[in-house]
Amino acid sequence: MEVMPIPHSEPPTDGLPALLDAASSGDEQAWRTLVDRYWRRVYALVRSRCGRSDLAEEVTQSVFVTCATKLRDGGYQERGKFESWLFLVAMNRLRDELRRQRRQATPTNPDNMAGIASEGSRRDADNRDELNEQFEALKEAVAQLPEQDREIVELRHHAGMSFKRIAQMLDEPIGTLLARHHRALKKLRTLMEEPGEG
Amino acid sequence: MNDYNDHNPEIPETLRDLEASLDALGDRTRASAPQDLGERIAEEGASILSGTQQGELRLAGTEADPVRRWTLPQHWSLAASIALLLISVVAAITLQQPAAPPGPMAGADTESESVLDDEWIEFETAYVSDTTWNDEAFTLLSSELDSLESNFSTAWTLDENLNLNEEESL
Repeated sequence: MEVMPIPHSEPPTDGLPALLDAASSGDEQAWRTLVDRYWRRVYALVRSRCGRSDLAEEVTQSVFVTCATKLRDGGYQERGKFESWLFLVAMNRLRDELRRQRRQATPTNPDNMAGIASEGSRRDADNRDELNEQFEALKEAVAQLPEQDREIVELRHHAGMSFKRIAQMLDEPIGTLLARHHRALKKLRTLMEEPGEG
Repeated sequence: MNDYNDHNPEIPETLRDLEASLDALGDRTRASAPQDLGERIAEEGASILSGTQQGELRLAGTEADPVRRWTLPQHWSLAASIALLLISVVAAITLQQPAAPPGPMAGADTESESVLDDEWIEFETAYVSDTTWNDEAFTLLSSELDSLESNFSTAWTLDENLNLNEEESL
């Protein structure tokens, strides 16, 4: 079976422990290298989940402040799971922030993250013309996926994580995640072919 | 080695184009990030790691944000509370003070007026015309003022009773 090449979104992890060690010792260059590797991916994941650039920006910044603080205080112990830890912090931070905003704003279905992102996507669609219709349709379809399916699609394609890292992060067997990814893509295909359904 | 190349073998050919579209969407989203955000993050983190910043920045309004929690609206709230407290105190003091007698003793009997006039003339004759103001004069002045206040109160009570009787008669 021919396999289509997938864009290389995830940077190499070689030398990551050394980078983390240097950064935690106050090496600014090492810290900047770490930030360069990950900040766009964290931003993209958060942006896709919440549909808001301002919130994505704020959450991303907050995640890296946490990261720097943990490195400085020795609160992070490198065991080969930095990336999983970083994106987990991002997901939790966004979840907390959305909960906080729901408490303060118009109530929505608390169990349906997709509803919030869908609303954000609609707002984005109104305000931006940077994405063409095809991408907008795809974003809308992703937003309509059930939470678990949507999560793996966004971790994989927006955060650019490998299935191995996603499995680490979610603490689930990799086979389960591969099957879920496949199922999510099938649902997406259906949603794209029948817009408005689902 | 690039971990991202661990393709999902379960994805059939028919879905590969969709997978590629998702990758492209992810690329676009990453590219849409504000250009200066990375630099801001790097600088902020560097200052935390070097110890020049405590790293207490959190999302605005969250409980773990001791700096941003103290925001302008809360200043206004505090100011409003203090103003309300001051107004309450002033109002309480004002209400406890005896009310001023109405106008030029409206409705008071001429007897009260003449008593006051006589006392004032007596006081004036005795002390005001005297150029030697001293402690004794001030003591007497205080005494006279007490007397005047007493007379005012009597007149005011009479007047209130009169008004009350008028209202009842209505």
